[in-house]
Amino acid sequence: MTPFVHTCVPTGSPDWTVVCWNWNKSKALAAVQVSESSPCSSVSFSPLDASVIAVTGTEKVSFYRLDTAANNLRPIPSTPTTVTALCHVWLKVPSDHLVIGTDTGSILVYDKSTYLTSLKESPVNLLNPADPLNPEAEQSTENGCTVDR
Amino acid sequence: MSGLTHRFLFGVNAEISSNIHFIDDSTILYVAGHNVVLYDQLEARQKFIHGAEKSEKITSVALCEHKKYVAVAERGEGAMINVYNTKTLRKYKTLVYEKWVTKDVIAMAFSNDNQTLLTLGGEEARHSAMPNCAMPNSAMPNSAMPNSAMPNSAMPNYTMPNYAMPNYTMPMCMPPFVHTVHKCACSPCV
Repeated sequence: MTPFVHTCVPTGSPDWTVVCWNWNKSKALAAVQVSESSPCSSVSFSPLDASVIAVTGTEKVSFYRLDTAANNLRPIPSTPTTVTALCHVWLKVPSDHLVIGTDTGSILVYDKSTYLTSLKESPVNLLNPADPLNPEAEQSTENGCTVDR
Repeated sequence: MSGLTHRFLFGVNAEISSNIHFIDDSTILYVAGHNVVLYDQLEARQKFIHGAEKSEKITSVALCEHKKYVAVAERGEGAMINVYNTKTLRKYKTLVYEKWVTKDVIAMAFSNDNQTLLTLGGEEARHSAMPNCAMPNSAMPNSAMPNSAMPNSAMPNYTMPNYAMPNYTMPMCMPPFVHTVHKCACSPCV
């Protein structure tokens, strides 16, 4: 008997679905597909506004709002991005900022859903010092961030 | 009184992101193999939350804000999430979402008010249904996997409907990560 060399495995469409649970009642409140194909790696709630969630991954930084009345997750319009986010964390102070580490070594800061800045002290900038021909990139704000929007 | 109990588990499952948490000042929670370990650093003692018998592996853990509950996502027949009490180590809730195509929950997060749990389903992963940490008998040499004929009896839980036959040869098209699932160093796996 000839052994099978190839196997066809029926695969559905990729998933990448975020589900929001009321876990005390074991009930799924809302679900949304956050990505067609690009992998997502992490999700988290905003610490100050429990209805805002952030999803990051490959070429993905997106925000959703949980509507508990209508039981759905609605996307919040946000700055489109091409970065690959590896990890993220929310800050409580001064407001709910999202800090994202990317695969290129830069650290980005989002204020809610809008891109704010990338940190001057990111690993990418420490490895490649700023271009002297482009001194504007050195311009820093009072909190040590380089604004390059 | 007879029977074996777990006393100490070595190793850590490094495949999971954010897999180590503080429960209190002296206790940390992490994943080793198919178990969640609560390790008291002062008393050098471990307590365990074992993965469900039917599941293949733990894919994600998340701790709620007041550290009282831990959510453990496992890959089984489908993706399943169990919420355990970290004090009593008892299962508190089971969450199953029928519409998920995926078997893996790759990230979870509790909200700050502890009312809501957020879960991110991964890729559709039916093709990677391989025996791993859950089954001590499945420790096969990784290098021998691609071409060697694997008798079906070596894989008690690996069900391949219609394809299963005694001289089944691993297809060459299997994704590479299937061969590297044995990363954890716990005693059943090494």
